[in-house]
This record gives sequence, C-alpha cells and structure tokens, in this order.
Amino acid sequence: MPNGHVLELSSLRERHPPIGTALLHAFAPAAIIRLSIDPTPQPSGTMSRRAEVDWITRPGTNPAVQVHRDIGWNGLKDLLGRLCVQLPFTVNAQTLTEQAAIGVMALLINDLEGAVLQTVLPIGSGGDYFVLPPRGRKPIQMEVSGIREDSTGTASRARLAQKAEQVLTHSQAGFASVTTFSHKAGPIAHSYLHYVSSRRRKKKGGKKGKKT
Amino acid sequence: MTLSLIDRDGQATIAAAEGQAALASGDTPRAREKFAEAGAILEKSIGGARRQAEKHLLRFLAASQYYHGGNYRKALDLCKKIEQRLLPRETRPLFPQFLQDVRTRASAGYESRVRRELQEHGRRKDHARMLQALQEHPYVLPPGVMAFDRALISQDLKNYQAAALFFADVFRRYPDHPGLVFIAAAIPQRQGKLEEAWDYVRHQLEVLPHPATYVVASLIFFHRGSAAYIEDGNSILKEQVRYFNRAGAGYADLSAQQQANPEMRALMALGFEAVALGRLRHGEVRREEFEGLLRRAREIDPANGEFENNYRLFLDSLNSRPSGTVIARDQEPGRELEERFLFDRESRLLEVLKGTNPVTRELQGAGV
Repeated sequence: MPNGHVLELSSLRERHPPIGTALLHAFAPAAIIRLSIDPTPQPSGTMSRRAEVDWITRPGTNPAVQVHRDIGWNGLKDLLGRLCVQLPFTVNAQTLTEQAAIGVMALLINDLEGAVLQTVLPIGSGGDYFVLPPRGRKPIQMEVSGIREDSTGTASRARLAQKAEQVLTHSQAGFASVTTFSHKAGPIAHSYLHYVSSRRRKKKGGKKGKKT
Repeated sequence: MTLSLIDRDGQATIAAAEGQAALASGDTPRAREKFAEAGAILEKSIGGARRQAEKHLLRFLAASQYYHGGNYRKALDLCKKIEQRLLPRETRPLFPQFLQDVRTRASAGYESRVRRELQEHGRRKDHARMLQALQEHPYVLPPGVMAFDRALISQDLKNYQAAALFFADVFRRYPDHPGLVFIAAAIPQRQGKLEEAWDYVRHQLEVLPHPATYVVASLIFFHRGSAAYIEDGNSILKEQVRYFNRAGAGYADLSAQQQANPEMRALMALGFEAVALGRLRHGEVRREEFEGLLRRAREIDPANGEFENNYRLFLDSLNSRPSGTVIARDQEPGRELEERFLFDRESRLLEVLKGTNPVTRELQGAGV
C-alpha cells in the first residue's frame, strides 16, 4: 500500500471477520476521540489523521521502516457520534487511550501484516487485553499499548521496549504495538508496530533491552 | 499451549465488546448481560482445554468478564479455582491485583463504601473525582441515577451536548416523567443564562424530540423575548409559537395514557400560558385569542387552580393597552409583570416536579 493510504475505521468489519463489528463498536469511538478531539483537536470537518508508523515486519530481521497511513472515520458519525461525546465521561482517560490504541493496531496489523484478529478480550481488572492474531494459523503473541501525549518520544520508546520484553518473556516471537496520539508536539500521530523475536535478539549478541 | 482454541469463533470477543460499548454509554444492565455472556462462553470452553495453562487462562479470562460485568461474586468463585503458577507466564503478573480487586468488590461493605465516597464527592462538587468513581464503580448506582449525575456534571462543565445525551438516557429510563426535561434546562435558565439554556435545549431537541422538549424550547424563547426589544421580540415570539406548535403536534400524537400524564399536562398548560403572555407582551393579541389560550391551558390541566387568578391579573393588563402598539421594553409597564408571572409559575411547577423526581426517590432508596 502506498504511503498516505487511508485506513477507515469503518473497514474493521471487513478486515477482521467475524469480530470486526465488535471491534468497531468497542474501539473505534475511543480511536476517533484520541485522533480527532483529545489531545490534538482537528479542524471541524476533518475526517482522517495521519499516523507515522515505525514498522518492523516478520521475521524481524530487517530494520524498521517508516510508513505513513491516514486513519479515517468517514461514515461513523451517525453510528458512533453519541458514544464519542459520552465516552470521556464514562471511561477513564487511560483506558480510553488503550482502547484507541487497539483500534489503530487492528487497522495497521491487517493493512501491513495481513493479520486478522481472532480474540480481543479484557483480562484482569485494569486496562489489559488478551489479543490473539491471526485466525486459522499458529497464534502470535501481541502486546498493545497507547500513550495520549509524549512530547519527546521517550515515553513511547520506553513503552515499546517494555511491551517487546513482555512478548518475549513467554513467546519466541510476536508483535509489540504502541500508538502515541500526540507525538513530539507534531500534528501526526505515531505508531510502533514491531515484530520482535528472541532469535533475532540472540543474533545481535543478546543485548538486553534491544529487542527490535 | 494451544491458544488458538480460545474464543475460536470470536463469540466471547463479540459479547465482551458489546458489553464494553454498553458500559461506555452508561447502559449497565446491558453491560452486565453481555459480559456475563462472554464469561459463560469462556467458562464453557474450559472443559475442552487439555493443558493446565489453558484451563487456568480460560478461567482468568472468564472471571475477568464477570468482573467487568459487575458480577463480583461469580468472579471470586472462579478465582478460587485459579492457580497463579499455572497461568501462562505473561498473564501471571496481572492475577494478584485482579484477585485483590475482586475480593474487595465481592465484600459486604463494598457498595455502601462507594456510595459514601460518591456522596462526599457530590457534596464537595468534586466533578473529576465523582466521574472517576463512577467510571471505576459503574454498577453501584442504578443506571438512571448515574446518568443523572453525569448530566449534572456535564451541565456544570457547560458541555451541553453531553448533558443532553445523559438526560436523554435518564428520560428513557423514566419515560413517565417528562418533567425531567424541564428540570434539566431550568438550571441555566433560572440563572438568567438564556443563551446557555438555549444551547442545552438545542441539543435536547436533537436527541430527545419529545413534546416536553418543544415546550421547554418555547419557554426559553419566551424568556429570550423578555430580554429583547420589541423589534427582535416579534421574531422571537414567532419562534416561541413555532416550537409550541411543534409541542402541540407531538402531544396530539402521544397515546391517551401519555397525554393524561400530569407532568406532560402541566408542561403543556404552561406552554399555552407562555404563548398567551408572549403575544400580550408584544401587543399582538386580541382579547378572544388571549382568553382562548388561557382556556386551553385550563382544559389541559384542570387540576391546576391558578388559572382563575391569571385571568383577573392579565385582563386588566390587556384592557389597558391598545392592540398592535409597538413600545420599547423600558417603556412598557406590563412586560416585567409578565416575565415575573411566568417565572413564578415555572418555579412552582419546578417544586412540584422535584417532589416527584424519580431520580431523587431512587437516590434516597439507594442510600445516596
């Protein structure tokens, strides 16, 4: 896909059958809020927001490449408009950010990796989710996180390292995804989508803390 | 571990996502139902799991759904069967905190503790903490009460779009109390913030196009007419009448039972009076028309004994002014009288409505 390709949140339905409609209702409203209202309000009538994606694809042996995708919310105003107004009152800010990050990840993992999500279930009492891609193949572990605002990019990098570490504590390989909705005070959002593997880590000399 | 066996057809994910969406809109009964459905699906699949790690993970996932659906007892029962050391490594760290949270919420004093906390935040008007507490403990208050609290907070924060949505939820839960619409808009209106009141009612009309909302819209225009000079007043009066006509049309479409609702009748009568007074104020009204409007008010709300006095009070005013006269606000002695009259009528109606407010009653019942 070319840079700047618009990934519509409404396409979650088609991208992740049969759970796509559920993903749309559970995660798209939060994604719309974080992409268009808070923390970086977009001008009225704006229907998409650009995201820079720092992407390491499978098998994780190549360096990260930077791609751009526009995340769009066309056609969702009637369906989710009310929920977008109520959400900031009914869901705490951190959970809202995590939900938004799952919405963005669901678009990116399908667009970039062709993966289809099988399961996204809340686990525990905090904002953690048990995420399982892809359907019909050997499951790959996935760690997803969101950051509302990171003016230097430091918090995003640290969170990525933490999520990659978590993936590799119990699995030989998997994805770590971190989306930051206001990144380095720039107008575009930022996502890491890294395939991390312990094999690659060993090849690099087994340096702790450098997993991507 | 064969993780692909978990939620293979996505049914648990779908139910949990629906629960989450319901929770986000404050629909806690539906959230309970959908999370319970997700928990049951996962619990049922435990029997098909062969490895211990998968069994324990499924229990943890099922318990999590019950927890998110407010069924803390059931979550605790499942937790008792989970051995942390047998969980997959990545989920182990999540379990101790979860178990502690489940135990706290399944304990006898949990709800009363949270209610006291909410009461304290409400007393201090600490909106941030109140919202946070409602987010963290969404199943303690009845859904209508929680929506009412959120509406009031949204109002205080001047987010009238959110307030209108939450009040629409309140009204959906108490459809026999159309007076709630009036109570909602009355707060900024009584403070003389007519533009804010209109902003609020404008959003209410979008989400709750009920005859009661149209009456309230017409009342706002009556008060806006008081603040304007006669040149603007005529167009404002037209808006007042237009909204009241919409209310009348909507009222005619209500069922006989809904038409007989005392709150709806009281609001309609108030709307008729306000139109009569609005016309009188702008020198547009003929005696027969004025009397006709007050007669309609009396017919629709025969239980209200105020109308006889209203006649006497305003016939004098009517007789003293020539029809069609255009007089600026400051020079017209009757204008202030009419405004005060309607304000007092609204105050008395508000007192009555507050006395029958179902949210207040439910709050008292819930010990909040």
